[in-house]
Amino acid sequence: MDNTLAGKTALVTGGSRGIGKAITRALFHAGARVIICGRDAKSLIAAAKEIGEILCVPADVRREKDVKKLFKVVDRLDILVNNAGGMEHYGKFDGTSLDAWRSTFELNLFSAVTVTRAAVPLLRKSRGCIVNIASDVGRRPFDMGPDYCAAKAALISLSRYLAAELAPIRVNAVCPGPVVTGDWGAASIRKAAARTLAKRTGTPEEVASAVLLAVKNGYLNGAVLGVDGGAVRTP
Amino acid sequence: MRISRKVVEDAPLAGKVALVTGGSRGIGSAIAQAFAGAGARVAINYRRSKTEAVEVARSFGGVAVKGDVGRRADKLIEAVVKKFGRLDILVNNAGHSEREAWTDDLDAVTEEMWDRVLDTDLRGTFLCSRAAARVMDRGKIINVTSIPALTGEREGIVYSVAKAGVLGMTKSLAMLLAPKIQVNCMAFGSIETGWVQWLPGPMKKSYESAIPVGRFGKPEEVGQLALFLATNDWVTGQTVVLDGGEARV
Repeated sequence: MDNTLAGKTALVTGGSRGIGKAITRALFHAGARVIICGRDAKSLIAAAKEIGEILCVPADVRREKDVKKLFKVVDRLDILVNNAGGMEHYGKFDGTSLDAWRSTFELNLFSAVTVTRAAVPLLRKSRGCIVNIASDVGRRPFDMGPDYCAAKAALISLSRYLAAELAPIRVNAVCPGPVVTGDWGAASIRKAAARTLAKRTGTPEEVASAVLLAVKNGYLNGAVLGVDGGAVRTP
Repeated sequence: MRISRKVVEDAPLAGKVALVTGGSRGIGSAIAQAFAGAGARVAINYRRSKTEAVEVARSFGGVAVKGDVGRRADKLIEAVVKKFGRLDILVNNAGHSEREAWTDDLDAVTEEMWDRVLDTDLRGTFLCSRAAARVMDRGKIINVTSIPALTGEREGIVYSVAKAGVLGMTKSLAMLLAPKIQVNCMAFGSIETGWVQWLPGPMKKSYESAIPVGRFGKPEEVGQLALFLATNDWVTGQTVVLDGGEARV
């Protein structure tokens, strides 16, 4: 507990699992009041049991109706972490249907847009900040499907764009490289580690520490923080 | 358990030794102070002004060592290791500044200016990094660059080229020194250090109005970023822009 975020309220979308859970824990241990949302009520409750007194709201952030309900609970907000996202499928360009593209953009870009639209009035009041969790493949595309790479690139671009337009609300992107959070299998872990300079996959805590920096550092705005073991070194 | 955890959180650099080149003033001294505050033993170097460096170092319980980054980097690193027995973190902050090199008149740029700026900013960063890597077991190298390196700068061609070189060096060193040493770069916008007090009021206002957060950066915000890069083991080869949202690159 360092309490530097005491008195602040944070919302972490997809905050009950993987990287999101580590971010929730880091914010909670820094003294923030944390609200998490996610599709699976059970995993929300499990995260709360594990971490401590956090507020859980079941919500699918792809649905505007759910987001509206969520913001009936969120009465004030200083920190928004758009973490919800993921790869739903994996294919080459030829094998990716237009529906698959739409679905990927809904999960990884439009969800962040929807939550941000709802959050901005509260963030303006608090002069708060937004951290978007993108991906290293959004900076430099890698073999992870064209739709996922493009959606994450769009999220990075949105962060830079909003850093100017929403000021003084600060907006930054954190781009994790391969972090093993689910059931990956030894072969894919080896492949992912090989693509980094560190020759290992990262931990959710290493990503969460970058989120905490983006939250606490008042001059960090429009920045894209790569936390990826050196996998991507381009802007 | 509770006590040891508190030590880790309050003093993440306990037991570590850091060298911050050009650490007696401005950005360098902010970084040195942040590291000392996080529990590190910190050295700063000086070329000529010993009294100033010693005084600054004493203010945060560090030491000042004599050495020119562009000429005798190996001696400088040697002096730090002799004093503290090890080196874990190197911050290549020393940079050459001369007013005359800030010009949009190409004819006013002399070859000697190139020599002086590249000697310190580029050669110095390389020589210090190489000498440090030789003595580091595991460690961190943190370089300093600035926005003109990414965007270009009409009035600072020599400076922007030297700093762009630092960007490339950061990435190459990150590859060469992985996985034992993480090498990253901080790219600063306008930070409120000594130079700001020389700005006429209206000019300062006009600079600030171009920055989305509406102000210059504080030295302690620089220290906070440096501390992050000094402690995160999975961040390497990165350029982190700290500019209040001015450049968005």
